[in-house]
Amino acid sequence: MVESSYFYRFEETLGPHVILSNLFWWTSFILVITAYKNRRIWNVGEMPWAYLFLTFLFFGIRELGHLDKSPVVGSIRYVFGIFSAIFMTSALIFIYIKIYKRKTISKKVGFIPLVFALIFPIFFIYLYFSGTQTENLKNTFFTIENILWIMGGSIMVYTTYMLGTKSTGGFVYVFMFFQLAAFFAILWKFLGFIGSISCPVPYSIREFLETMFGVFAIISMYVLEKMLRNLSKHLL
Amino acid sequence: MTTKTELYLKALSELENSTGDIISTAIITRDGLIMASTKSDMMDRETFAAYGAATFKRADETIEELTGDNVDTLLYESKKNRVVTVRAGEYALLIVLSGKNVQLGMLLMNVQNTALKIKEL
Repeated sequence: MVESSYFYRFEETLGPHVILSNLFWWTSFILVITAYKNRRIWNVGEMPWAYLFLTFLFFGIRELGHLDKSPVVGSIRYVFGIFSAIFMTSALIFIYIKIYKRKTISKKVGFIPLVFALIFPIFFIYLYFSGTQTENLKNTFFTIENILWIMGGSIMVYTTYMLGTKSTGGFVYVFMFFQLAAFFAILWKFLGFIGSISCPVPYSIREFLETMFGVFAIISMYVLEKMLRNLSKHLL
Repeated sequence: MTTKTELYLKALSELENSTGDIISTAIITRDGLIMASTKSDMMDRETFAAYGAATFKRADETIEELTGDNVDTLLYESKKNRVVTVRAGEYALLIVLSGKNVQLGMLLMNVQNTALKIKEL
């Protein structure tokens, strides 16, 4: 029998959520790789594909970080979560610019998210070697990750909505599921954020939201990969 | 071995050669993915396909709502250009962007003949 404290605890623990989350994100990562093979069919540019790839890779690494409880690993895990938020948002912004705004993304602009993302590991190294307590370090990066996912998620809701208005067929589902993933990411991180400042929320609720975020991310990648795979087979 | 893409490209270039004043042609899926396109260096190929498929879908929904039928040919034009979209099989659409220096009748006939060829491939 599962103890009721399992559902009402406020701290992270290892549980089904960690296994599911890792399974979802690493499967999504494989789907991105197989979709990437057919990128010439949906040629939205190298950078959106690269950022989608990095999003799922880094979020997978972030989820692996659950297996270690040390605050330093926890902080590094949040840095990977920050990377993932930046890259997922950037991928959808670039697709939005190309498909909706009908503009080309220059190479310089394409590298802006990468440069922005690099700030955070440098900040981490600076704080770590300047003697910041590991618990404070973890809390700082937890808050930064929360804020970035809330901001990035809000941008993703907008971009996927606008892209959905110019799409048809399977792409409507791709953008719809990305949008649902963004909604769950916002909720998940918003609860984490308010929990860190005043009102702790039971971790099981956040776990559920995070799992749903993973579920919708994998569905969107599956729909995209399936569309590209089917067309690729047809063209042979 | 000749791939389907090569056969599609051949059909598209035949259409361009026989019609004239064609700016761009593409065979796209109803999702808006490109199966073949004659202008590979065109900057907004994906946009062309996405918008073309979305417009055809809206037109199809409109005619279905009004008459209960499906759209077969969609033609729309601006001061300088025309866009013709026709079904080319169950899942594919042939979309042609042309200038106005070509007779509309000839354009439509050639586009429909090409769509039939694509359907048979």
